Amino acid sequence: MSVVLQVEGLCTSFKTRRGLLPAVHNVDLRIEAGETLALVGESGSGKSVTALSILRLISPDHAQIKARSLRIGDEELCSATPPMMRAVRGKKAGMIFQDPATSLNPVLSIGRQIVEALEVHAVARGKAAWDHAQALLERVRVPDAGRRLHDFPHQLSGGMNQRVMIALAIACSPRLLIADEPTTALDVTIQAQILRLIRELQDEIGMGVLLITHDLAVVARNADRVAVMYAGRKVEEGHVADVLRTPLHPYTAGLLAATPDERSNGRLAEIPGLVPGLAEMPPGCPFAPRCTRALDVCSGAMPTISGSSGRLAACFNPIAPC
Amino acid sequence: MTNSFFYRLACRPAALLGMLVLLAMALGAILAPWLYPGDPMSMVGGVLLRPGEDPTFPFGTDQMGRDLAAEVFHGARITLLVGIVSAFAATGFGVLVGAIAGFYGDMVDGVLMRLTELFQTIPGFLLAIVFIVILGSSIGVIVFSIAAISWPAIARMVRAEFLSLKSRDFVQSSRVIGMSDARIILTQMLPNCMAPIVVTSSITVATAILTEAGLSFLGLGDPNLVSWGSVIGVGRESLRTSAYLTLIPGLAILLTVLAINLLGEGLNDAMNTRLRVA
Amino acid sequence: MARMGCTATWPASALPDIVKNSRIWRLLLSRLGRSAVIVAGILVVNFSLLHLAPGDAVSVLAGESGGADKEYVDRLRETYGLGRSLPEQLIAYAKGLLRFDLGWSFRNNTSVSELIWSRVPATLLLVGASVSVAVFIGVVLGVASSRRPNSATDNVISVVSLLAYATPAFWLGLMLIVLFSLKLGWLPTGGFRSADLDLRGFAAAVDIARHAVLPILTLSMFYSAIYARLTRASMLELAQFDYVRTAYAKGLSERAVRYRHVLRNALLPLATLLGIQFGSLLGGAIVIEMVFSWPGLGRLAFEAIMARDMNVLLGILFLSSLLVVFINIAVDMVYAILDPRIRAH
Repeated sequence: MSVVLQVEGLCTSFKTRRGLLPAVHNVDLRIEAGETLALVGESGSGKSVTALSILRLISPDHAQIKARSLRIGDEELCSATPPMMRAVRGKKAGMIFQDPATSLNPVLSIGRQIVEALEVHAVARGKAAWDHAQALLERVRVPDAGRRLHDFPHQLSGGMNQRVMIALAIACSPRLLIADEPTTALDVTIQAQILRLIRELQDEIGMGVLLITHDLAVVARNADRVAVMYAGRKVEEGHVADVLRTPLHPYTAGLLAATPDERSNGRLAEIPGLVPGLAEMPPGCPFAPRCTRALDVCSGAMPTISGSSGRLAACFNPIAPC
Repeated sequence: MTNSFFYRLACRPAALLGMLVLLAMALGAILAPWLYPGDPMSMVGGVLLRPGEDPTFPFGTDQMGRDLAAEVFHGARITLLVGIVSAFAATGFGVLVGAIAGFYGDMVDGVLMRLTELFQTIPGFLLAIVFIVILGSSIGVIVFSIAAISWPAIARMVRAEFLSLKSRDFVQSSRVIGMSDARIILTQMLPNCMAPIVVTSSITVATAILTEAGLSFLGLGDPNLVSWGSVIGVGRESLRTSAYLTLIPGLAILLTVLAINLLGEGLNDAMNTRLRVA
Repeated sequence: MARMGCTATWPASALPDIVKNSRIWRLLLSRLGRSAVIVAGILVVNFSLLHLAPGDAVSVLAGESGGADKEYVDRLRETYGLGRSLPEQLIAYAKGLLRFDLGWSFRNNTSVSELIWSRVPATLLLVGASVSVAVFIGVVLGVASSRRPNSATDNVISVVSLLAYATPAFWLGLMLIVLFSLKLGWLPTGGFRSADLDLRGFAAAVDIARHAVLPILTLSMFYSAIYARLTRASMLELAQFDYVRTAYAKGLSERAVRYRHVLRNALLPLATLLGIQFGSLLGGAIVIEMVFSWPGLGRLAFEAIMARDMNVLLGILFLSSLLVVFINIAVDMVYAILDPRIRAH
């Protein structure tokens, strides 16, 4: 199995008037071809920033992105130049975003935007590109694809637009697909369709998928492995079945308890407190102030992620030994 | 306190500079009758003296021996007066039309907007000229004419604000408790658009000053009064030999309008508490 | 490294839209309908001004009182006469205006409409060129200053814009004459062409161009500043939109994103502003033409002001208002072509 994405020690810090504020700290990720890794966390956990950092979609004016290693396929992109990154984006790695309505240019036709993705990487040109674009639309199950090519985003529903986004992302058959909350803005009935489409395309193309979500139900049904993030750090990782059945980190347990299902009646269990802001990180474990299992050592020192055979947790007092 | 409006305004040196220049202009205008008593259009000195040639005339004199400095100081009175009064009138009328159109909607809005569109279609400067030619070039007519062409922009802006405020909860609840329309407009909605109204008014003052200068330059100003535009118009006759006659009053207009724009921008920034992306 | 060619550029993909959808035609129809109301309003305004003018309406239409021959005045009185009711007068007047019968100018011994038409080309040249220059300079400077906000380039452009915006146009024109005509002698002080030289063809065009440089520069300066600031603001605001991120995620370069995605959308508010400001541009042309002795409508208006010739003034008012209506419709159509979201109400 070939490794599609290998990230070691990713650190992204935002440049603010108060100095450099770390939003993602020392995150490692690894995805193999045909595998789906879910990245889970609340808003403010740094999961979206992680995704954007992999493709360097945050301007260097706003943030500093560093990593020990960042490989997509077999290409090391740690100190990649802008032209190198441009060659990777859209071709080796595709990305889809949360809100399809605003993620497509309103004044350009659907076809135009897909053709652009094909032309920039010289996959096709002119009439051939438009034919290819139509084929892509058919592949993502957009009905009446020939006509839709000349339509504009505002004429399509949210679900349709998200399919167009997916077509854009897979246009050049990338090795890695990053999906940043692809179904959050869509109706529940459409969500399942879109996720199923992504799985099918993944099998067809043999891509690795990085699925970012806050919804554990989505993780359960669509991912092979899951990494949990809190306050910019990875706090747990493992196979989906293992993590969801026997979480190691208290935060993961809290998330699971807060997920509504058929068994929960009445109030959902909350995790008391709030995620600390970038500038208000406590010393030691960032989850300690809200943790029911916190020990004295937790507020003084930072737990490092450790474990074996892919089952990892960053905790001084895990629920079960890792 | 540190985030208050005045603090934010004070932090912008450009706006402060603008305010200082305006105060200086206003001061000059107010003190004109004391600094240069008498009629500024009276001939007091040698003809076409350059600035600095005769220490009594720091700005020099024009073709008829009129003291340019006196004309500039007295001209400030007219320019600022016309600018402020016509902007005030335009704002008053514009707010009235815009508020009614935005609040009542439907037919009332349709009619008022057509009226606004009409006044925005007819070229304003030309319309002002026609008004003055018909009604005479007294200062009252000039103020009226400038106001008559400046109100549509304000009306549009206020209408847009009111349309968006109309659906807000606090307006809906005012209606539910039975507040009269007038009270809702005056006490609930209008205070919420003060920021854009103030900023647009400042721009209107600047435009009014430029329009008045243009009208006076064309000879349509009040013949008994001195305005910076009319001084430039007279100075134009001797452009070849005495460019200072045109240069100095023009600089006065430039500085005044610049100062108003800087202040207006400062007000705009200070009034908008927009979150800045780091 | 593949060349980033764009074979089907946006006009081509918009063309099927114009031809296939009836959206554009429906919009045009609705705009014409609305404009008819405005034109009616213009007619009423003109009519009211005519009656507000000193002297009676007919003597105004006949040209300055005393200059017309009795037979002509009697005929006018019959057609527009005060004997009839006000609404009838209005309709008669409206019919006349729409036939472009704007009265007679005895001072110039020609009909007002002929007088005006003879001056229109010069003004169109001035205004058309000024708008083009202003848009070009404005967009170029606006894009340049939005590339690196708060950089030296941005600050310099902002300062220059601020100055250009605050400068009275007529004064700027005079100062430019002092500098370029009187002191440096590079350009003529005014007029349309060198009357004393008999030039043909290309040489004549160059001569006219030399005369047009300063007037165009003066008229466009104020508007360049406005367009530059609008373009800058639009570019910065639109760069935050999600679809820009998608464009980068496809692998497009900064240049491609800036021009093909952001600027394309930033042109929309610019088009709107152009339409709104056209009337002000015509007004500005009056003073510029006077300063530079440019033989257009503006200079004609100035002459009419001096002679208190209401006839000609009202004719110019009517025609320029119609021009603004026409330009606004054109701008709306261009906007609808650029923005596929616009539909007829």
